[in-house]
Amino acid sequence: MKRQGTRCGCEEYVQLNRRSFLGIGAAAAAALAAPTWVPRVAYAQSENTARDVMVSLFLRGGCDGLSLIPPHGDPAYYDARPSLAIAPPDSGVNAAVDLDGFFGLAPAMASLHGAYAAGDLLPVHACGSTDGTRSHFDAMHFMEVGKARDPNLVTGWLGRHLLNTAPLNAQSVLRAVGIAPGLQRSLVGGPQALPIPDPTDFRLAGNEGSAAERLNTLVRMYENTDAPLAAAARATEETVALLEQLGLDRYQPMNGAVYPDSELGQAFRATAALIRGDVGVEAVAIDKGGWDTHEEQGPLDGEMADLMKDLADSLAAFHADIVATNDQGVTVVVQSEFGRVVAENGSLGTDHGHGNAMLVLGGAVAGGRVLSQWPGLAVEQRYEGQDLDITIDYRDILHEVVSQRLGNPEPAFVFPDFTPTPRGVFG
Amino acid sequence: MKSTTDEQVPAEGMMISENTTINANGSEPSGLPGSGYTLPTLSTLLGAVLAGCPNEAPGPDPVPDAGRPVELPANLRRLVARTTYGISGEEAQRALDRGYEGYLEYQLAYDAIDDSALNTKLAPLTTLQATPRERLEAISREDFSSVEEFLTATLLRGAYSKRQLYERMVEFWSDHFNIYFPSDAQLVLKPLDDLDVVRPHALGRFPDLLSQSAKSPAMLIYLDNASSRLGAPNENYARELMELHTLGVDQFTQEDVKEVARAFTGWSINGEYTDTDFGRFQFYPPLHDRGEKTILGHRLPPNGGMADGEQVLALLSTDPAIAPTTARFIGRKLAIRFWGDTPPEALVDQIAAAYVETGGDIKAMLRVVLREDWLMQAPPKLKRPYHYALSSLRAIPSDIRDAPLFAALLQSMEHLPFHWAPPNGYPDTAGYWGNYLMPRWTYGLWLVYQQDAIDLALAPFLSAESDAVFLDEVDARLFHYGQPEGHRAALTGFLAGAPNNFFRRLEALSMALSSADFQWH
Repeated sequence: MKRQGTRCGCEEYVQLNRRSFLGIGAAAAAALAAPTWVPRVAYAQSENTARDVMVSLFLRGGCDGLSLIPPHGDPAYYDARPSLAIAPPDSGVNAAVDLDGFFGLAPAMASLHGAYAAGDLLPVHACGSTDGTRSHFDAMHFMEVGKARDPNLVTGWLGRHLLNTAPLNAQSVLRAVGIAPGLQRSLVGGPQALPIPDPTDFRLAGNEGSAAERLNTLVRMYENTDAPLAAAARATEETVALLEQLGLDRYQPMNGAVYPDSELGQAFRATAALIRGDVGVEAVAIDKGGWDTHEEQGPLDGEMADLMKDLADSLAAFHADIVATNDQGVTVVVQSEFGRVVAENGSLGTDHGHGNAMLVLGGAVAGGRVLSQWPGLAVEQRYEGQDLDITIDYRDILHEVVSQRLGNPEPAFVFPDFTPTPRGVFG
Repeated sequence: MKSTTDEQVPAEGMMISENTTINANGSEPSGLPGSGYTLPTLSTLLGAVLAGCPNEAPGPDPVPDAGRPVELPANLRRLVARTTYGISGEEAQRALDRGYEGYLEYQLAYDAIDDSALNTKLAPLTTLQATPRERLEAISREDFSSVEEFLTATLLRGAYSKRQLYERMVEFWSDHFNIYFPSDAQLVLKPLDDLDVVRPHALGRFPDLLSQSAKSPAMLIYLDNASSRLGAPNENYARELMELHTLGVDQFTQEDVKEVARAFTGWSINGEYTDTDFGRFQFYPPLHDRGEKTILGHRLPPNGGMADGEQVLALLSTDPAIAPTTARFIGRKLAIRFWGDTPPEALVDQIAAAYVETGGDIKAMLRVVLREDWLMQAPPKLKRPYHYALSSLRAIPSDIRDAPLFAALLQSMEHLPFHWAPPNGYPDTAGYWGNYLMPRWTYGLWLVYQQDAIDLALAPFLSAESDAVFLDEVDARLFHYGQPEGHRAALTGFLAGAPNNFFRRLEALSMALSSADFQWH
């Protein structure tokens, strides 16, 4: 989270960096020749499309959906953002890439237009959590739990989905991966869910030469301990072995896909490798921070443009590699805890708002259109007079994914006390 | 590059190290700008390996070693483990000198314990007593020293205070009355909640603690009561007061929530920046709902003013019909923290009875849960990551030199104090904490390899004349002569790969710290 320089201002100070020390050894791993080369054919061309793998990308910090998917057909957008608005399509450099005559893509997101044109990308607009909190932490927590303000519900929506759905692969030692140093709240409660900051490098830190021996020694020292530690130790050992055997760092994307050499790009590359590895991973949660753009937002050539380009290029590569090749059932959902105020502030940025955009990507997605009941951006149309209102609950979207693509027998367990409105995400 | 095996010389260790990186991309911000919070660099992380040579302890200024701890009988070992952040040699000797009852009473009479050694460590922290305005002014200038020093003091107290049971109770109440530090005005207010609410009453009377918490500016902001006023009551605090602080879920109705919210209207904070009382509790009569209220069957007459809220707090914590529910709720949480994850109802009943008999005396409740017959029946209790980390610093004589670095490590284990966002506090059971082992496995390695953040007395381990003696030291100092035979066999096998080797011993020590038996207490 970005901190403003004034008073407590935009309160949240930069959270202590959550990167753990698990990443030790990445470069060494890349440099050392592995003793057992896993041939390309080790990656199965699975025909199992009965159930999708779920990839959940959370944009942390409150991504400005009005820059991501600018509503260029709403004049109030331009009134509210004299400096930050993205120009209408065909208005010269830095113009929006048109989607449907009303919404567009930020120019930095242009690489994602191919997925949209192919009918695999569905932007959803004016959606989010109707809880009014403007706290990042509360809003993220509520969304990942799948319900607002219930202190007794501590498991995540994806975790509960895994809990009440039979494993895709009964032998799987790893059903879900959080590409994070600690398991994301969305996956909490899920069986065989592990936080793995870098799946290409999930191994014991320190000396590579003794790592296997140390892992073995550690697991021996967990053999006779109480639950749940003994099982967790075995799961960790099995996962280290599984990922080493898969050799994710040697993964070759298909279809000429090139993942950005960014943390996000590499997270998607690892996700693709896990999916093609066909080892029973059913859910992957990825985080991308940096979206708390109170100052110098720069949606055209600044900070946010860089973030959006990284996002679009990562998704586009994943689309080319996994979705367009049409042999793996995958649904990707991109969301953020809240949108940002319609009007720009005095610092060429935007403050915490309410309604936002989501992205859904997948072969089964009824994409190539924008799903929205646009409430309008004129002052009298705004939530609390300042924000994009919410006309689609984020759970409407997730509920359809869970029930229609993830084979969940009881979506009400995943989203308790919630009655979804059908939105036709998958047609 | 070739794959390496067991290196005998530092040069090969360096080769490994140079190709080792913490952050594969290095693209993320590395911490809290301007506050000194940064992640360790490669050189700090593996500094010992780079700088060291075999058979020599790393670190320019190792803390003195006090020798092997005395061996404790099982009951004392259990008591010390459960009332501290880990058994140190010094603590073991104290317990042996005083016996079970004597040691427990010594810990309970915390203010009689001389803590001058800790106070010397705290002396350089000049902002601990700062006023809200001083804190806000500094933070406005991007001077985060008050933020950093608050966390530093917390970690130093946990590791080195002799008032160990008191510090564990400070942590218990910090969870119970959770406030999320890195948000909003809490950077200013949470340290004052710690200073004025939690620490003065951690081993006092629960009704006093509750009453002070209700007036804590940090709590008033965190649970939104500060903006609750006549005609626009905010239910957040009212609900959590009953659900999380006193009665527990399902012990009250939505109507009670609404009425309690009305009772607390006008309880807010002084927002006048120029006032001396800026940032302190203030009751605003014009914002208070003067009407009659009915709470849990009790009528609060009109025009009660601030007494309305006081009466609610008294009902919840001292009323003969209502307080027993609170007593059971608190009793269960204490039992889970100090006894085990699934405490017997009889234990919960007895702790609750102690509450009722004494009007909420916290020491009286602890005397029950820490009674020898109860404690000796207790199952193993998983150390939460913070506890685990502190226990390693107590098992091996240590000196935290870079607390922010240590804090960043705790954050990477998802358990830095005051960093849990929802109002229910960090979880307390193995069901939550027991599934993510890699951070605990990494921590042991980090601890023995780093040298800039924490001085450790590693000499007894690294200069032991044989691997067998090294393992004896591990058994004595980490496991108090109770290391499981299987552990020793596993480490013996590992050490045999390169006998009497500096790196092997560092790695073996790290694994002892990461082993299953060091995770329980």
